[in-house]
Amino acid sequence: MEGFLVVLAFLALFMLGFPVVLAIGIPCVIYIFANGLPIDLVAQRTLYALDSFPLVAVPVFLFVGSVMNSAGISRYIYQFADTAVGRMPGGLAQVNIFGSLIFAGMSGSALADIGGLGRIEIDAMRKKGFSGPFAAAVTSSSAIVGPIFPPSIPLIIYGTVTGVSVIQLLLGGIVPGLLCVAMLMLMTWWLAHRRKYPRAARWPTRSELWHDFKPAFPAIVAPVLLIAGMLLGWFTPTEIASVTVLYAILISSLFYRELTWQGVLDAAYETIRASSGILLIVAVAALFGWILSVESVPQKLTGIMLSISTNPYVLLIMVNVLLIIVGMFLDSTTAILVIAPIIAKPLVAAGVDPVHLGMVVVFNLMIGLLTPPMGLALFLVADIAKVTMKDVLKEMLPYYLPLGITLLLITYVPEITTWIPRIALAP
Amino acid sequence: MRLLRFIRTAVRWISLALLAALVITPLAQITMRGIFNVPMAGAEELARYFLICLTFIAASYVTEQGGQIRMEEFQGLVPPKPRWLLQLLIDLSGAVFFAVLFVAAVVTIRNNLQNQTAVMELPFWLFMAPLAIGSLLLVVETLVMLVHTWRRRRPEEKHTVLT
Repeated sequence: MEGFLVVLAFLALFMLGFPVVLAIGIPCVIYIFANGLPIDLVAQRTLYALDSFPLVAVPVFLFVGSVMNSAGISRYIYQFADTAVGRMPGGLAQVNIFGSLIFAGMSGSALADIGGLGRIEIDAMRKKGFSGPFAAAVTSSSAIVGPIFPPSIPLIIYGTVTGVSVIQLLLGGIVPGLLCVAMLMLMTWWLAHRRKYPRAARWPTRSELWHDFKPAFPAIVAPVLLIAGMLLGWFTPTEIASVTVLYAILISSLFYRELTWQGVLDAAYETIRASSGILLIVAVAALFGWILSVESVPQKLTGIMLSISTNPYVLLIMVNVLLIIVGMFLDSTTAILVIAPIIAKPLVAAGVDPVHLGMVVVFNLMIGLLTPPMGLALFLVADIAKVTMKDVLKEMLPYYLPLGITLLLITYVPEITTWIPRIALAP
Repeated sequence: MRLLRFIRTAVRWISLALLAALVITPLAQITMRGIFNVPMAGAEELARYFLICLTFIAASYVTEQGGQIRMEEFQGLVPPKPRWLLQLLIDLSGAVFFAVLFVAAVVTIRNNLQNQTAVMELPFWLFMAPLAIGSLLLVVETLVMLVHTWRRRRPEEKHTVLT
């Protein structure tokens, strides 16, 4: 019972506008004192939560995204995407989505995509006659590919809290990421036909394509190198994060020659702000998770869920509904830390593959970045595009359909997620 | 105020150094293992320790910059006076919470003075120090916010700054 009270207290404080770290931490500390538990527990649980090697990848991958934006790599990605798919119906809207896929191959963060590449895309779309809210809607919906396609910060956090292999999770994100991009492009195609959106006058010639491919090549080839390095056992996922930073800095300073010391400093400060904010929540959430397990909340929930049905497909429907509601109110990191340890047990007990479940959880919560009231991607994109949240939401409506279909496909066709990890890591 | 400015500058520079260390440690491990075939014992533990240091030491900087994630939408519906009181309560409870973290860290250090970490044999007080220092800095920064909110006599419009 006390476990559920801690959860309710967290929700109440969160709704009142307490910072997440306090909304989680205050009920936990009250629980510790009320039960006469030693205060050492607070310090030990909080500190040991961060004593994890996979988590080292979180700030380092955030740094990659910031360096890419500071170094102008995002601009070259955009230029190539414009040449490659600008002629497709939907023009720059398709460029926006395709550009996000390339960006996703080096950065694992949706907000880094919106803050860097998104800024360029929204300006360009406006100049070509697209409305600000539509440009913002395409930018934010395509940005969620970043945390699905490897590398991915939310998948690393999910793997850390549930003990699922981070390598398998990252490999599992390849097909869902591509599928999501295809669905978004199809919707854009349909909207472009209805609304008569502008597009490039002609398809590029081979030399034009080659001209813009060359500067984008180092960014395009990065995910191939990273995945190969991981599969060949050269690096762990955490080491890949460091290799990607080195790679981004090297190509920025030697190839693009646009990275300045001030750019590196700005990227570093941005990374420190974002990563310490996220990881402090990870630390305090460990205390929360410990209390839930002491109070047998996951076991009780397992009992309740399995008493309703033991069919994994029915359980996955329940999880999807729960996560969509949770995603509306919690930011993705908090939701993974709070929800994943609770739901993983009953679902895995019912026969759901842990890697598949990880993808369902993370994709669902990425849609949560685009749903009010706590849609961080919406806040950021509305701020950058200087439009109201209401207008962005109106333009977002058609895009919830491809995202929903992708979610359903990921949920009910596990092979979409498990196929690559299975063949890549087969003995 | 001069002391506060000095502390904030020091926190920023230390955080930068820790981020650099966090990137370099795995790279050094790859180089030693892949090129020289001599894996560095304790490289993973060192990287984890840098992560702990970065998280707690930089936390006060995050608070100062308005980077703590929160949902302000419902708070925006509350009239100004009660909202101001709520914000005072949030700042005050924040200071108390971080003070509890600080005391917990100090008590844990006191109870484990003879212990060491497994691989690198770091003294336990050194391992726990980032939490003690970081939570103390958070108490200071949250109290600064409390004083600021009190003096304003009206609520802040928005706290969170997304990068």
